[in-house]
Amino acid sequence: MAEDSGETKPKVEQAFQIVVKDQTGGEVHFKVKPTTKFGKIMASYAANKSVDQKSIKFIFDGSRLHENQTPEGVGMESDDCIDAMIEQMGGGKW
Amino acid sequence: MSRARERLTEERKSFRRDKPFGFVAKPEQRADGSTNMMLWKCLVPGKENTAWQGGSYPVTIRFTEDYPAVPPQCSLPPGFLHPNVYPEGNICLSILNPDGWRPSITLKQMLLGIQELLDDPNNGDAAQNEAYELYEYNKTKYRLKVRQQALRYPPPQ
Repeated sequence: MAEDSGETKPKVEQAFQIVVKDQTGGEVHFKVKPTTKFGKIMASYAANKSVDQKSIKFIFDGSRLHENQTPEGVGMESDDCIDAMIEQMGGGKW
Repeated sequence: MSRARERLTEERKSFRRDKPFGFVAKPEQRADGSTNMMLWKCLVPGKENTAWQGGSYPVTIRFTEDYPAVPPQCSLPPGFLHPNVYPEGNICLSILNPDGWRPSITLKQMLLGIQELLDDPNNGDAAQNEAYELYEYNKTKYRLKVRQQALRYPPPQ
């Protein structure tokens, strides 16, 4: 098939895979869009692990990810790894 | 691009895809937004079920243009308490010494090696006096000081 057949391929937003790792060595792989908000990914991760979403934080490259950020927005590439940490509270929250 | 920079670009790529939990390794971002590939800022977590647990220790790695023929220099903050860390912070570890270094050693292996060293020091070849003495003569106090140090380096919040 000639490459210049003039057909226009439907524009597909590139699929992105991110890997969420936890302390016990567990991994959950997500296929997302570069523009999917982390809030959605966190909710789905928490549901998968049967834990409260508030008890988990996502760390990428040493920085905490916020719910309204996106993979694209923080410069993530496909197959990048996120650490899922259990939220700790060291008192003094008032 | 120099051989050192090419290799470091590869190291960054493979580390991103195969990162052990809790570790961070990235080239320094200069104030003007550019990247300094020769200076890396890393975090090494203390192993679970050791006195080092809960700490996320900042390791700086300095590469030269001769890398990977020669090892980079790895350091912890000055004054870091550990028998194999010099008072100014340089880490003394066989795989990072010119004699023990092999160009095939990856960034991930270096950082895992440093994590391993934390709870498994070689006090027979100490680089600082304070940790040497405590480890040798007062393990209880050594452990307590290591616990206090862990609290000073909390993981990313």
